[in-house]
Amino acid sequence: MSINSVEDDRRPLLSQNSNSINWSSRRPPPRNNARISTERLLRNPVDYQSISSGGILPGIPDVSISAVISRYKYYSRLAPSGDTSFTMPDHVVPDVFLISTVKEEGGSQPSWVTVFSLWNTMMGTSLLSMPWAINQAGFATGVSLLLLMGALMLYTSYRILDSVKGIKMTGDVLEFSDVCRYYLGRWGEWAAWSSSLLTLLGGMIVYWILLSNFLYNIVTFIYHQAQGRGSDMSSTTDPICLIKENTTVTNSSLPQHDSMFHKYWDEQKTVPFILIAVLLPLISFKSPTFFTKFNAMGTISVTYLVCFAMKNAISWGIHLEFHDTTSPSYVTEFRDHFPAISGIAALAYFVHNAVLAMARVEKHPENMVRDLILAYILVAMTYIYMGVIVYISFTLDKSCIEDNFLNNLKDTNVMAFVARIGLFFQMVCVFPLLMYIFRIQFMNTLFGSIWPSLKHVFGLNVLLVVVCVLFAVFLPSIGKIIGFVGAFCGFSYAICLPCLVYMRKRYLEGALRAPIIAFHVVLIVLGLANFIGQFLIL
Amino acid sequence: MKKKVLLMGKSGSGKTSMRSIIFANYIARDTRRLGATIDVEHSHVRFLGNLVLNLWDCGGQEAFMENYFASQRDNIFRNVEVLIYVFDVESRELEKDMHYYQSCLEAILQNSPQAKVFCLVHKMDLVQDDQRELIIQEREDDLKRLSKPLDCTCFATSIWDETLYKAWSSIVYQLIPNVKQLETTLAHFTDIIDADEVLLFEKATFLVISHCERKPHKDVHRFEKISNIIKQFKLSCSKLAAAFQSMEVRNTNFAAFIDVFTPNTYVMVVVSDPAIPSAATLINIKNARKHFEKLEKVDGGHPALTS
Repeated sequence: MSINSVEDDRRPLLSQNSNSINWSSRRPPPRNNARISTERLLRNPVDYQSISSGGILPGIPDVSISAVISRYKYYSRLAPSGDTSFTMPDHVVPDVFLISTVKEEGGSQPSWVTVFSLWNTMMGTSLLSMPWAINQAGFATGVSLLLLMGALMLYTSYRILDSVKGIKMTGDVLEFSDVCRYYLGRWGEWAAWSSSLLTLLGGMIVYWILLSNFLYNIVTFIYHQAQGRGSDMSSTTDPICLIKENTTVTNSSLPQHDSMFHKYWDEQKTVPFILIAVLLPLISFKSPTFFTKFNAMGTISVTYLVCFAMKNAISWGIHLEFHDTTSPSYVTEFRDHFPAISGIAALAYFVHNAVLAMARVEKHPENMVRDLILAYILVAMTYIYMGVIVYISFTLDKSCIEDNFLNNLKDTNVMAFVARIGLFFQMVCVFPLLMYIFRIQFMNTLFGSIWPSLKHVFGLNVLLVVVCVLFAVFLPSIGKIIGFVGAFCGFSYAICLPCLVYMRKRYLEGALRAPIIAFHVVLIVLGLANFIGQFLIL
Repeated sequence: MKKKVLLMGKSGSGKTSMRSIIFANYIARDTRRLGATIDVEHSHVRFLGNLVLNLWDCGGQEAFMENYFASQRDNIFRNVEVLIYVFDVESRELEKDMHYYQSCLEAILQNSPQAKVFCLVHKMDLVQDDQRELIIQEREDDLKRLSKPLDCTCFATSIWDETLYKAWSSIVYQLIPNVKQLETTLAHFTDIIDADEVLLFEKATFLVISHCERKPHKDVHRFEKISNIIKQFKLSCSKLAAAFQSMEVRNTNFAAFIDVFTPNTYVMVVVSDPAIPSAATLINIKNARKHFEKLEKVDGGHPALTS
């Protein structure tokens, strides 16, 4: 007796209708669009075993998995091939059948690229302030402090690299603020966050001042060239001293018709505001990754500056006088303004917020420490070279050296002009990135998203621009600013936090010994002294 | 007079797939057609003797279907023994679904007030594990409330786990007349013939109605697996235009016998004592058959189920 009707029982494996209906017409799209996903997981084939194996597949002791397989076999019989209504969706497939491949999470960056990137990142605007800084500290003191600070910052960078070992990742990547939270609690994370932001803010202020400076000089140069006054100045490559000649140069050598130009184009009063028009569109981009393509310009600028300094040194000659105090080239070994250089050095060697990101993309992470050491050596050499070369070849009184040594060159100096253009463009490209990083760190921690709303972002941008402009107008002394910012974040982010994290780690391991405490406390005290020193030389 | 089992629900809620799986029908190639199921005429799936399964798409399609449905309403809902209503758990139009469900219930109240109502919340595999309890509880409360004065039983189902099989087994269990008595007698039978386990299946769907276990077995999914195996075998038989009647599987560990039992049921006897010859077990089954058939015929409110 047939249970089903004769038609049902006699139905062939493939439906009779299939031949006529669907070969010609297009298949209607599935209504249950949640099921079909374009990215299918890789699955192992199902191995059919005979009943004698107990009905349970060897190696699969789980009865529910064998039930899944039984269902799969049955449903496959029901659906004609190609019909996906009985295809097992990915979320139902037992884990045993999913092919998982172990992917090597790592970077592809070879060692020399890492060293170069580190060098490139550390090379900043401090380069322009090095000669001034050496002057502030005295020749020998300056050089030795540069070396010492380099060693100190290298050690703490290494501590940061070392500190991520053994910490579970909570998000996509592990940053130093996560490490701080793990070891020091919420306040550690907040400390890391705020000092990182302050460093960025300091950097932005310095950039704004320098951008105003370069823009001013570039336009003035072009203006003077257009005026045809280029040939008037003699020895345009000689350095000028702005401090002494300030009152005489600006008033006497400028003819009357220039004063209109200089009224509207003043480095401190008007250019910072004009800069807003230039930069505001750039910082409003949601994602300035476009600007990262210009990273190479930084290297070109630095190389150019280095060669430029060398060329100047060759043309000016060495002017060093150690004993004659009356000579304009008199240099001291020690001056009590040395905190200036330690402050600047702290910012000059600051790569602590990027070192973890760099380590992630390194092809051979075990070489990271070696690469870090190499990078620091190169950076130290570059800074010392730059500072020393300009310092010893400066023809006038060393105290004339400006904290941006390009200011010592007449605005008609062609090579300086080229340097300024290059640096201007480089900074215009880096400034939006600084803003962006500031914004995402600020917004992400405070509001939980990197773009809470246009109002928030715009408000933040305006606030930052206002701060930058205020500094550019009233306090355009980059040496002091770099000193302060460097000393502060040098103390907090670069020295204090890594040392505290390390000591806490040792404490948790039970391996905290007195010499380690002593050593790191000394480092922290040095950082603090550096910071306080900045106030003393104000 | 044939009584109906109505399988209803919005189009795309999974009724045709469900029917295909439970009744071992080959799935039509165009299950994801844009049109609605006008399936009444084609479906003569019969089970439990004289119950006919009718599939209806209810709600959510073109005006034509709506009108047809409305005009044929009394016809559709007359002589209904069971209403199985399928809800898609992913549906975005809960209000509408409930509305259609209610109108079906009204029609049932008018035409077949004695019908049993079952609600299946289907496609539960698309719901995350931790939310399942919550969602099914919510739906059940809503449905029970809406179904008053009728009583509805709710199940959460998915074709990708054992819940569909269990739900339909429960439904069929409630439809078998005298099922409790069958169960106790089955237990006696198992003891008498010294079997490890005896299963009672519904004939058309091979859903396990009842079982008696003398030796514990660690595979809780064995009923569904046996069901699937037999249904696959039935599909193979149908290719040869043959009908499945009985099966004996024997090896050194056990002997299993699957055979017709009563007009509505199949029995599976699993014996692990190798000393017992097949003939003995088969005679036992044959004798028990007469007894159980009598049990099925004697019953209270339902009309006698004939083959």
